[in-house]
Amino acid sequence: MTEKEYNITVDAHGNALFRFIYKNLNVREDAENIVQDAFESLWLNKSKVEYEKSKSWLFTTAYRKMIDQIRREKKTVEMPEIHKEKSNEAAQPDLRQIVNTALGKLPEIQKTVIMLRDYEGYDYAEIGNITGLNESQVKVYIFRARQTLKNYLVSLENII
Amino acid sequence: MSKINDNNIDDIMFRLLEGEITGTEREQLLDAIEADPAYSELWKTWQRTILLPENDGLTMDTRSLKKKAAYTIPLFYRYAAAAMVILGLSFGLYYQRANTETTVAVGPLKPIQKMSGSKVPRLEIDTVSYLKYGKDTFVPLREKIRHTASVSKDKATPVPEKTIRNEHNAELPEQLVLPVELPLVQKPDAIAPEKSIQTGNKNHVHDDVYVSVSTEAPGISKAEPKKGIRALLSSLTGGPQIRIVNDSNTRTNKKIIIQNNKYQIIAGF
Repeated sequence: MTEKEYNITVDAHGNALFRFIYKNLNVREDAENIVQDAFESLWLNKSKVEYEKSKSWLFTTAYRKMIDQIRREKKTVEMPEIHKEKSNEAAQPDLRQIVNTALGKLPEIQKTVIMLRDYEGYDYAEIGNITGLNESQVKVYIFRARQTLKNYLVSLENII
Repeated sequence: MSKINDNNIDDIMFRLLEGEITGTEREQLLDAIEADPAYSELWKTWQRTILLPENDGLTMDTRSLKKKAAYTIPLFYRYAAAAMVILGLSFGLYYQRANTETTVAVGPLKPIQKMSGSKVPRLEIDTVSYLKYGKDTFVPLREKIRHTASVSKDKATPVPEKTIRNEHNAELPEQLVLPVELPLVQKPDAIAPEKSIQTGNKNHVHDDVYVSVSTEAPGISKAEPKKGIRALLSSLTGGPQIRIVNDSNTRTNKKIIIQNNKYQIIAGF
């Protein structure tokens, strides 16, 4: 990967990577630090990483750093309850906020795989490479994540 | 195609959502789902589980992530350049020394021992063939020695007081005075064999003083230039070496050895 390709990668995937990490950690500063570490690592290894695989490489590196961060701080990542209160107050709750709330309730690995799947468009094999799972495990986690979201949405509709 | 029922509805809808069922099979399943209002509503809920890319302003300043690589010289080239410079200097010095005839300039002598009533024997070089060298030309020491030796041999007696001259110092002050006047430096052949001492050809100009000039210093090859590491080191470390070593044959038990890669001069007092 050349210097020019590296800078193109920053433009193309910088914000997506930040969003992915931020939605997992829900702490902006930590997310920015992890993204910076991931890109720094990419720069140091630019001679080994092909440009075509740079996105996958970045997400893999950032994901591992994020897991390390979570384990180090033993942090429980939850979306703020503020969304729930708002949704109760609103007559027509924003579906996106509801989904985000439901997303925050998912286990870490389910949240990661479904975000990689929907936000970044990775297939099962690529998600498996990033997370260290096999394709069957990825598929199972995605199914469970969607089922949890569906059940949450159904229960919310019943309440409303 | 799987038949839809309450047991497999979630699995079928998940597979539809993930794109695992495509083509006509997908169309038939969708038609069947639409036919049942409960399944239709459930299918809409499943579709909402897809996370949509958000435009929620979640961005970071990516400008700080960009890099501009500075031009760096690869380490290999630095080592190669340094090696080339060192080799060039070494070979330059080596060949310069190999191709240049060794000349020794006789500078002013400092008094070592002052003895009243005697005078310094002086070397006559005025008669060295200036047809060959010219009056102002630097005369190599070897030529001076050869000339002095021939004069000494011809006369077979100590030469009278003569003046040591060189291009730097025309007149040597009279400082070291010896009772017997002999040439300070002579060619080894000019000295009687019985006065020669083991290492080279020592010439006793006095009971307490001898001077030896040898063109074959111990351990030093006269004919061929040194080769290999020693030659390289010799080239790098420079010219003549001056040493003071112990010698029980002298009055002071010391002798001075001045040598380069061709000559060795030993003086004992």
